[in-house]
Amino acid sequence: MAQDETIGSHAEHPAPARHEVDIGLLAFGLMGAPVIWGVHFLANVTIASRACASTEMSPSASTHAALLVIDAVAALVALAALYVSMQAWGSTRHEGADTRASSTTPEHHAAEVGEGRTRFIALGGIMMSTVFFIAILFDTFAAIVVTSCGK
Amino acid sequence: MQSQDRLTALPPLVAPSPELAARLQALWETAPGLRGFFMSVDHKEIGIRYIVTAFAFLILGGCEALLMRLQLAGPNMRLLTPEQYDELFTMHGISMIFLYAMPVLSGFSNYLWPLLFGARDMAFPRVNALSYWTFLFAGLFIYAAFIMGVAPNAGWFNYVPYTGKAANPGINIDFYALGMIFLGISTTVGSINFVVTLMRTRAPGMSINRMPVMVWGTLTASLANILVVPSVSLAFLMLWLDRNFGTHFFTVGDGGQPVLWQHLFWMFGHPWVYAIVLPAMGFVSDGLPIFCRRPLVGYTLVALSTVATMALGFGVWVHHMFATGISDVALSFFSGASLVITVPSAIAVFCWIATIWAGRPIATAAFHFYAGMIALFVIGGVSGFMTASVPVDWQLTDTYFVVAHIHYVLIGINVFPVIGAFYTWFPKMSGRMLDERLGKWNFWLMFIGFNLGFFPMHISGLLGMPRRIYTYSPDMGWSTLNLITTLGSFLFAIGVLLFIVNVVVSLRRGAVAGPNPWDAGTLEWATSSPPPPYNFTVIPEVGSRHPLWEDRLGDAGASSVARGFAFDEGRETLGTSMLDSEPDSVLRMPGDSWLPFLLGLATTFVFIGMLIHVWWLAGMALIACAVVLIFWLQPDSLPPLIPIEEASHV
Repeated sequence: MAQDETIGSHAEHPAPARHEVDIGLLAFGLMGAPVIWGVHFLANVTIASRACASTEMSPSASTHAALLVIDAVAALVALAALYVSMQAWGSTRHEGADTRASSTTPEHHAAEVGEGRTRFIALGGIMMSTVFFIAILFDTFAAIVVTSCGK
Repeated sequence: MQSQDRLTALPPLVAPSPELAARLQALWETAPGLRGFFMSVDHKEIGIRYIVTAFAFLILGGCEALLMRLQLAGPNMRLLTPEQYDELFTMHGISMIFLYAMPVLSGFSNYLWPLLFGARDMAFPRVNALSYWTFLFAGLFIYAAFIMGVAPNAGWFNYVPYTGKAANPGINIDFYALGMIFLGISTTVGSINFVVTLMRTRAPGMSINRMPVMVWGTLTASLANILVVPSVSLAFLMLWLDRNFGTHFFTVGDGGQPVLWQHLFWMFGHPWVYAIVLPAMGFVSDGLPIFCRRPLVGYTLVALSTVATMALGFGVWVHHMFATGISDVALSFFSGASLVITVPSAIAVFCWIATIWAGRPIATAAFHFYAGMIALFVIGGVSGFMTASVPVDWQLTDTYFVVAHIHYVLIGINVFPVIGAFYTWFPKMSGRMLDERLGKWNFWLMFIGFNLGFFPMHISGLLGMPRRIYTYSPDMGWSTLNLITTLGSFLFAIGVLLFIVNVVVSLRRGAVAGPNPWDAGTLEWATSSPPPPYNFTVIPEVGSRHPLWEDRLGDAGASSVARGFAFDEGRETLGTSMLDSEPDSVLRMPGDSWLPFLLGLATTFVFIGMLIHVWWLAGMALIACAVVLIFWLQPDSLPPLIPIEEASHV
C-alpha cells in the first residue's frame, strides 16, 4: 500500500498530515475544553449547592474563592486546548492545499476549509475551545455577580 | 456483524455487472410475504417502518392536540372533562416527544446511513430490527392504556408527587413508567447500532471530515442517548417501585425527594430535546446544498457546532427547574450554560443563510421547508434564550409562553425539516417524485397555520395563561387569542393532511424519479431509486464530501462509484477504520431472522407481567428472552473470522 493512498485505490489519503501532529494533542485540542468545562461545571454546582444548603444568605468568602479558582483553572485548560489546536492548524496548512488550490470558485474554496482530516480536527478544536472558553467565562461572571443563595 | 482479522491485502476493484447484481440480489433479498415482514433485517425496510409508525403516532398525537384546541377555542367550554383533558395533554406529549420525534429521525437515519456510507447495511442488522420491534411494542403498550381509558395523566414529564400512589392511585402512571423503560431498550440498542455503524462501515476514504452533516447529528444524538436514557429508565423504575412496593425514592415522609425526580428526568430530558432536533438540523445542512446548488458553507463549523450543542446540552437541565427553590448561585451556572448554547446554534444558522446567499436556490417544496425551519428555529431559539434568564423564567414558567417556545422548537426544528426530508428523499425511497405544487400548498398551509396557531401563545403566556388548564373564564382576556390559536392549529393540520394526500397520490401516480432526480452530490444518489437490497453493486470509494459533484467542483476523479469491492460470496460488507475510513476487515452480516421479533415480543410480556403483577408471566417471558438470546448469540457455522488467505474469494 502506498503510504498516502487509501488501500487499493488511487485516491489520496484523507489525512496526509496525520503523522505530523500527535493524535493525542489533536484529541486534547478538540476535547480538552469541553471536558474541563464539564468537570468545572459539576464542581461549581456541587460546591455552590452544598454551601447554600445550610444558609439563605451568601456562601462564605472561601467558597467564592474556590469557585473562582476552579473557573480560572478551567479557563487556562481551555486556552491551552485552543493554543494546541491553533498550532496544529498552523502546522498543517499544506494538508488539503491541492484541493483548495484546484477550487473552481471562491465559494468552493470556503466550503473546503478544514479539508484534510488533521486540519478538520484542528479547526474543530479551535471552535470547541473557543465556545467552551466562553462558557467558562459566563460561569465565572455568574460566580462574581451572583453572591446570594437567595432561596 | 462479525469482524474479521485486519487484512493486509484486499481484493481487486471490479466494475458492476448484471451477473454481479444478480448474485448480490440472491444474497441480500428479504424473504417474500408475511415471513419476510417479520424476519427482515434490511435497513431500508426497517427505516420505512420506523417512519410510517412514527408518523402514525404523530397523527394520533395531532388528533389529541386538535381535541384540546377545540376545548380551548372559547371560555368555559365543556367538550372535555378535566380528567379527559389531563389524559389528552399527557398522551399528546408522550406521542410527539417519545413516539414520533426521535423514531422518525431514527427511521430516516436507518434508511439513509448505509446509503450515505456506501455500505450494504447497518453494522448490526438484527439489533436494528430489534430496535424497531421494541419501539413498536413499547408504543402499543403505552397506547393500550389510552384504549383502556387509563392513560397517563400527569403530563409528559410526569412530576412527583402528582404521579405518586397517593395522588394517582390508578394504573395510568404504571403504564407510562414501564412503557418508558421498555422504550429505553429500543433507543439504547438503536443508538449503539448507529455509533458502531459510523465507526466501522463507512466507504473507504470517507474520513470523519467527509461525512454528511446529518450523520454528525445522529451520531451526536446517539451518543447522548446512550448516556442519558439510563437516567430516565432509572427514574421510572424508582417511581414504579415507589408506587408498587412502597419504596420512598420520591416521597418526602421517609427521606425521599420529589425534586430528585425532576433532576433525573431533566438530566435525560434536555439532552433528549437536542437529540430530537440535531439530526433534523442535519437534514437542513445536507438538503440546502442540493437546492442551493453549492456545498454547505462552513461544513466544519456546522458539524462541530452540532457536537458543541450536544455537549453544552448536558449542562442545562436545571433551566427546567428554575422555580424549584435551588439556590441562586447554582442556578446562575445553568443559566450561563443555557445562554451560551445559542452560540453553536447561531453558527449553524449563519452557515445555512450563507449557503442560501452564496448559492443559486431553487424554490422546491423541500427548500421551502428548510428555509421555513431556519425562520422558526430563530424564533424558537430567541424565546429559549429568554427563558434561559432566571428572573425572566420565573415570570414565564408554566405559562403558555413556554408552550409556544417548545412548539416553535420541536415543530420548527423537527417537523418542518422532516417534511423537507420527505420531499428530498421520498424519491429515493419510493422511486417516485412527490408533487411539487401540492408540496408548496402543503408548506404554506403548515407555515401559516403554525405561526397563526403558536405565535399567539406567546402573548397568552405573557398575559398569564397557565399551561395545562382545561378551560378558562371569559374575564381573563384570553378568548380571542385562544380562538386564533385553535384556527391556526386546524390550518396546520390541514397542511399535514395535504402532505399525507401527496404521499398517497404520488406513490401511485408520481413522476418516476430515477437515481438522482435532484442532481445531488452524496453517495445515496449513486444507486437506483429505490435502491436494491444490497444498496450498491460495488462498494464505492470516496475522495471528497461530494462524490457526485467532483467534476464541477474541481476534485476530478477523487471518488469512484464505478469500480469497487464486490463481496459477492456471502452477506459481507467492508469494515473500515474510525477516523480515516481505511479498509481493515470484511464484516460478515446476518440474514433474515425471527430472533429480533421474538425477543421484542417476549420483552413485551415481561412488561405486561410487571404491569398487572402476574409474576409467573413476567418470569416465563424473561426465560423466553434468555432462550432467544442463547440462539442469537450462538456462534455462526461459518467462521467468524476469515483469515486473510481465505479472503481471496473476494
